[in-house]
Amino acid sequence: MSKVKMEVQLGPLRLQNPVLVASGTFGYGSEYADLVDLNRLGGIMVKGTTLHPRAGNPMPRMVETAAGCLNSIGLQNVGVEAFIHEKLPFLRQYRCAVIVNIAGDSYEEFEQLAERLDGVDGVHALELNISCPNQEKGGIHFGVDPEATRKVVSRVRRRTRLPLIVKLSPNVTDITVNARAAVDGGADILSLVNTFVGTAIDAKTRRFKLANITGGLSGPAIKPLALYMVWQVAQAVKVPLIGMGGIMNATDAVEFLLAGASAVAVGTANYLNPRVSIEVLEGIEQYLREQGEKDVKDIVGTVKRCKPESEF
Amino acid sequence: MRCAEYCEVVANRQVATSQFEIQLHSPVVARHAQPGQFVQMRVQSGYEPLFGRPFSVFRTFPERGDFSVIYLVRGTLTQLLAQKRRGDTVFVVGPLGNRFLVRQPAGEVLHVLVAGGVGAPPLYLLAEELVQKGVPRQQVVVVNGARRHDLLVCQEHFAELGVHLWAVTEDGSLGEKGKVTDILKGLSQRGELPSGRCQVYACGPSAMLEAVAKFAQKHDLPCQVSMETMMPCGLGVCLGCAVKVRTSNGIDYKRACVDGPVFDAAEVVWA
Ligand SMILES: Cc1cc2nc3c(=O)[nH]c(=O)nc-3n(C[C@H](O)[C@H](O)[C@H](O)COP(=O)(O)OP(=O)(O)OC[C@H]3O[C@@H](n4cnc5c(N)ncnc54)[C@H](O)[C@@H]3O)c2cc1C
Ligand SMILES: Cc1cc2nc3c(=O)[nH]c(=O)nc-3n(C[C@H](O)[C@H](O)[C@H](O)COP(=O)(O)O)c2cc1C
Ligand code: FES
Repeated sequence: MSKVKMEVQLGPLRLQNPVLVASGTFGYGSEYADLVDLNRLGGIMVKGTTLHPRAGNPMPRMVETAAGCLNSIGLQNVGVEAFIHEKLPFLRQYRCAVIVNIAGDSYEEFEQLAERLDGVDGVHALELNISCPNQEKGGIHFGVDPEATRKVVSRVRRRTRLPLIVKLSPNVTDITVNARAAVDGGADILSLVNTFVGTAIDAKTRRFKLANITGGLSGPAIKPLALYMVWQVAQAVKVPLIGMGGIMNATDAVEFLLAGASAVAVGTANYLNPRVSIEVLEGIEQYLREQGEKDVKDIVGTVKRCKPESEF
Repeated sequence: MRCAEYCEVVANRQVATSQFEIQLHSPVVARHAQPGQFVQMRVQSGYEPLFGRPFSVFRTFPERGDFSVIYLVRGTLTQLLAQKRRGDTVFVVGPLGNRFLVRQPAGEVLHVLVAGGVGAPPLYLLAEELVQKGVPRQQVVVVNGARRHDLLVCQEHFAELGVHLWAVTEDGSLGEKGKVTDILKGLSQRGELPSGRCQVYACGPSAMLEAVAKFAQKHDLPCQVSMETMMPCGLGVCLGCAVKVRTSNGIDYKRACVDGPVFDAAEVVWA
């Protein structure tokens, strides 16, 4: 079997292959370690980490919808200190990149998180989750307001030498505006998309299905929306992209690469098939061989227009 | 040890109204499942339903490498499951979660197993283990309840073990008329539940668990409950299965899929 090159370089971040697992869908890796060979993953984006531990939102927090699910977990996590002392030592044993997803309520919290994680052995990059409320601005999400996006990224940029990934919120009018703001602020890489805000109602009981009323939609239902956003952003900025949103199999992943993502992250699919990330990796390799490609980076952003009518 | 794989259906037969026992081939589950543990089973038509669903392990047949669960047909997944025939496959992840903790010394404890409807299967596995480990049969008390006689499961299996068995239905169509807690009250009034050497294990609908937990608290009986929540991942990562608990630091959430499904009833904060 001919070997295809799967290693990818995303700005300052080298990955042994372009398949990552998305934040919040793979815990801290240890939960899956007996079922998945973590050494084969391109990287693990760990659960959103805050300065202090958080208990999360009341139940019910998740509800299935057509080909997707809404979640309002409320960033339940162990906090950055417990992450460093209790979760990271386990992850250090593996070859895959460890990307810490961080979230804060204020610029200072983001800065403190970045500073705390800078230079910590075993952390390969930071991913800024800016889909969280900015308390200084009456709770409007950092990722929705381009000026707040630019500001939070540039303030974090000054506190860390780690590769900086900014995770874009899709809940905006024109995602290219927010993408440019993140790049202006100093983002090395953009990841997209986070979940789409939605809700679900039980007609019988006439109640919202989530205690929090709204939740973030993920899963196959959002794939066409996410794919379009990745393509749009790929046209608008020069930094490498990590694409995600509803990837269930290798074909979905390949579509994101063709749209312009240099790497992909598998999210919700990990819940229904713990080994899906490895299947996606193997499927991409097989696809490349079938297509006569030797290097995964050669297909990034190569999607062409639909055949003209005359050629049908 | 756990597996995540497609497992072949060995048998799928009706055992009560809308309830089926499905036997699946999975040497890993058959060998490693403990009483109270569950498997996450996924059957889909397209992407519906998206996630698997949790089902308690009912019986294991380690020699053949098979195990079974009893499921009640409720929604999409269980409807699809009911259509499975011998030779078809079901995606199984498991065994998952913790187990019922047997109070020691097991031979000197009165083990009170309280089942509601389709909550009976994991308690059967526990009763079987207790008997196999040599706990005298009269020290295993099973209170098996359901709304109606045709919804009561595992009755003949418990009977075969020769344990001290009560059947109770809300409409009195089988066994005693009433609720499982009525039986517990009767036992208690007759002095048959000595708090110093009793352990209650319960599995069933939330309302029943809460009632049993309150009864146990009132009579100072240690009690373990197997909690039912939705379980999108079953692996401890999505945090969608949170159970509110009391800890030394105040109120917190635990994950039913890995910290449970079995909880000490005293720590659970009932909704
Ligand atoms: C640890 C654990 C072990 C379990 N073991 C078993 C078992 O051994 N056998 C078994 O039959 N079930 C068991 N369950 C419950 C089972 O997982 C659910 O009934 C399952 O969601 C059914 O899937 P479905 O797609 O058919 O129905 P869904 O589409 O999930 O539900 C259909 C309808 O039923 C309602 N519903 C779902 N679950 C419940 C519930 N628990 N009580 C009342 N209404 C409900 C829903 O709100 C919905 O309206 C267990 C649950 C847990 C957490
Ligand atoms: C239950 C759940 C928890 C999540 N937690 C986080 C998180 O902590 N931080 C974050 O940036 N994204 C989080 N996400 C979003 C995912 O990382 C991903 O961006 C999104 O789910 C879209 O991908 P998918 O459709 O493949 O799941 C979470 C998603 C789910 C379903
Ligand atoms: S079901 Fe996902 S954490 Fe428990």
